[in-house]
Amino acid sequence: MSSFPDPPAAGTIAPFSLPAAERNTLDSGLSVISIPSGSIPKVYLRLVLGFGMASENPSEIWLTQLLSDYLKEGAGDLDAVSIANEVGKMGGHLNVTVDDTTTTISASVLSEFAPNLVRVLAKIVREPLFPESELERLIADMLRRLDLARSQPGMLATGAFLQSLYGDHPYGRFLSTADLIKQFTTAAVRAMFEGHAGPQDAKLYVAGQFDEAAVLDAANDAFADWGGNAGSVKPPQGVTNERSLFLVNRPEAEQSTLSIGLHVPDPQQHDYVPLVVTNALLGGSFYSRITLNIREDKGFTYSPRSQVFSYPGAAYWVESADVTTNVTAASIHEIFFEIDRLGSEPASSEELEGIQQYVAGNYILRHATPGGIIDQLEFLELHHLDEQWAISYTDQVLALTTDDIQRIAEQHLQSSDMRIVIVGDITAISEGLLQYGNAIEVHP
Amino acid sequence: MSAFQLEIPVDQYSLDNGLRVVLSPDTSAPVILVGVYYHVGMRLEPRGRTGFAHLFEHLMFQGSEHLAKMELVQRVQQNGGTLNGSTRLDFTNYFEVLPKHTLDLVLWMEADRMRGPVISDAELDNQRDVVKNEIRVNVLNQPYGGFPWIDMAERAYSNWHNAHNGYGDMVDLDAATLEDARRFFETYYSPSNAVLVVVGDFDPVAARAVVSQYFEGIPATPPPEAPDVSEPDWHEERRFTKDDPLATQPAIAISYQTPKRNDLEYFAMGLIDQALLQGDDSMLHQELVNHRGITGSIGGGINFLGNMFNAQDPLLWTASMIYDEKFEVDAVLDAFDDALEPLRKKPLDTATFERTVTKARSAFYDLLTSTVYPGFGRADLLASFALIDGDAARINAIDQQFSAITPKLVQTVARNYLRPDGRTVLSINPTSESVALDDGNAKS
Repeated sequence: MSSFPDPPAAGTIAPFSLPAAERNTLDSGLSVISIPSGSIPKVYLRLVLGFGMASENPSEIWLTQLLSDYLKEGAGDLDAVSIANEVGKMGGHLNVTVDDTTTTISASVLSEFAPNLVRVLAKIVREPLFPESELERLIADMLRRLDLARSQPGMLATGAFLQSLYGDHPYGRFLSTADLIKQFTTAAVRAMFEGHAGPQDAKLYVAGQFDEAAVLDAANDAFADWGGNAGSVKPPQGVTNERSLFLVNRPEAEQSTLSIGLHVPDPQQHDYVPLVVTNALLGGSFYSRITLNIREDKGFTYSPRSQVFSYPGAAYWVESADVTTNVTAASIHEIFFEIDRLGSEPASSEELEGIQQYVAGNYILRHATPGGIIDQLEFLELHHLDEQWAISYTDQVLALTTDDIQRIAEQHLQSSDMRIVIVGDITAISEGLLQYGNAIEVHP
Repeated sequence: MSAFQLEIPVDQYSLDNGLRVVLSPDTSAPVILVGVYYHVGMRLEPRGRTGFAHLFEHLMFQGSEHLAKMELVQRVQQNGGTLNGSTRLDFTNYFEVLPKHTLDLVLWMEADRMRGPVISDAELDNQRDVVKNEIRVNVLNQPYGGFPWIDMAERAYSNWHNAHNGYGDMVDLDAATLEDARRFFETYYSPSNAVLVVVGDFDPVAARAVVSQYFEGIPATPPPEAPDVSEPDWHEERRFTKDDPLATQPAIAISYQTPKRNDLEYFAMGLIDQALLQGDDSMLHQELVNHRGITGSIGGGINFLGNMFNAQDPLLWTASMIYDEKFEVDAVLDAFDDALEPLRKKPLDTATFERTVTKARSAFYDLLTSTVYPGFGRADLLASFALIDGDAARINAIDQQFSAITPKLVQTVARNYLRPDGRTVLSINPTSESVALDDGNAKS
């Protein structure tokens, strides 16, 4: 083995360049964003409407999910089977998804069918039928989904954590209840749609390989006189961080599912990019401090990870891990140890440099596929960031110093400010948790 | 013929030590992906050492002669990349995706790792704990945790290699030693039992030279003898029930044996999968979801841990769903049989058949793309075709294979393989109490 050569120096990573996107605003006000990309003869279309779960009132939790299911049930002269067959003929499946602030209708089809798919998407948002005959079945499906979610520890942890962070604000709602769902009506779905869907805050993203002129022609034609309303979201006001401990009981669970975190600056704030880098160093990558500690040293867990989640006007940081039940308290201790250490002593410049390269390089990777590019453009749109923000992102990342990281940790990642949610066997874990405050049992 | 065509460049060759190399440049994004595939997966591992192929995958991150524990991960991150590995039915893979200009370093690291892990008992113990937590989070602490991939394989197959739990018994994991690891490496991780694949924006001439420099000196050892994994044909329906203490709703999986990989009939089975199971336009979705409201979604396909191209015989085609508790198992199976019957009775009509072929082609193209790890989808298929069939260029022949199928052949395969007396049915009996269904009152 002595003949094995020394490691080669890695080359210099070329600066990031944003893939070229062409933007057109149609007469109706709809923006069409075209990004020719990729090497596979497929096209990816996403029609993003500017409303989602945050537009529900407290008695409507998951109504927009029912709406998203309902959109596949018929439009114009097409019933549910015809929609499925039409998109199937192009080689695709229609997906309709909803999150807090958007409803997205998407499909990927063979490249030559891009204009046809534009027409189907237009029909769905312009002439949805919401047939009364399908309501009972869609509600039964939704009740089973709710029941399934309540049996999954990760869903319970997320539900309890969001509830503790955002309280009565729509961002705090994650799981609905059977009582609410059973009262949903077709009229309520239609009112939600008509009150919030429209071209002014909608975007049509087209990426992959396709005929740009043909797609634009089809969009101009199909969306020409589309009218409608717009979604609106009021971000949560005056959120505060505090140490509190919430438990969701899951008797005899072999693991405790942890969510530990707090409110942090959202993407519009100056500290957001430094926070993203700090997160990657702390728990957001495989070679991060918390992961090296509780996985690679202690073996407490398989998939620990920290993330920064953002909404328009709000964001939170969370460390998540499923840990063996008998090391629940020990895991929290180690997680807080790593968080505190980041604020109390500066990272080495070598460690920081490595993580800067990681974040900058992965920004290039995230723009390497048609789907990834749309994700990134959607992120900019959602947070009202301009192209310059994306273009300068890697420069911002690479300019950070070890002092910046320490300041971010001290200012935004104080362990004493963090909420702790644990889904697990309360009788087995309670004793070790006394040091983290009075536990409150919750039922998300 | 469409203006958009699939054409993947493929350069496959072998080194003197038997390592097969596949190079496939793609300049659509400034990234590269390196993958190393070893021809040992969950069902090829030796008896008495269940879960060892997977445990060993973890050990391959614990250090080699020139790389300390986790140093490979660190260096990939420091160079802007990300990585992963996985253990499948027939192979174990390791891959890294990074911005370009890092290819030499990544090849050097994979070559060092191919020379063998250098690990201690402490590292083995650590990864044993990590793997146990992986099994807990994915199987033991989740409703429907091993369903259907572990549960069905254990019941449907009669050959130990196919039937045993590839995640491993905790007892076998506890018994694993460093000596086992050494022997496992020597038996299965020979260059003659591996494929190296490089995809992305790189110079193939330079890449060839670097591959030779780092991999040529790895000693040649004979590839392991392939175990007999053959299965007897099924001639009677077998039904099983499993209690799931974490589940609240019944579930069912139905498996049939498939034709031999690469026979024309196998591609007909791929079309059957599209016609029956994939997408809202599929016959099973129409019957079970839209018409009868038995379930909200039905899933499945060929190969529990991948797709119809990245595993070898024997394989199963499986459909599975969580369904509404108001239906008895027999009612679900009646509906299932009603959906299958038209396919067995007469050839598909032209429109449905053409739609099915288009979906198959489009789904194949989707496998070539991968947003999380750009380039991985293409690399995975190239490596699989090289490893299993000896010819990575098959990637460009799949379209023609599907085009060669006739409606008549689809009918024949449906008759011969989707036989009521040739299937295994597994029911999940939920023994946990529903919290959201029945009374409509969530616990709160």
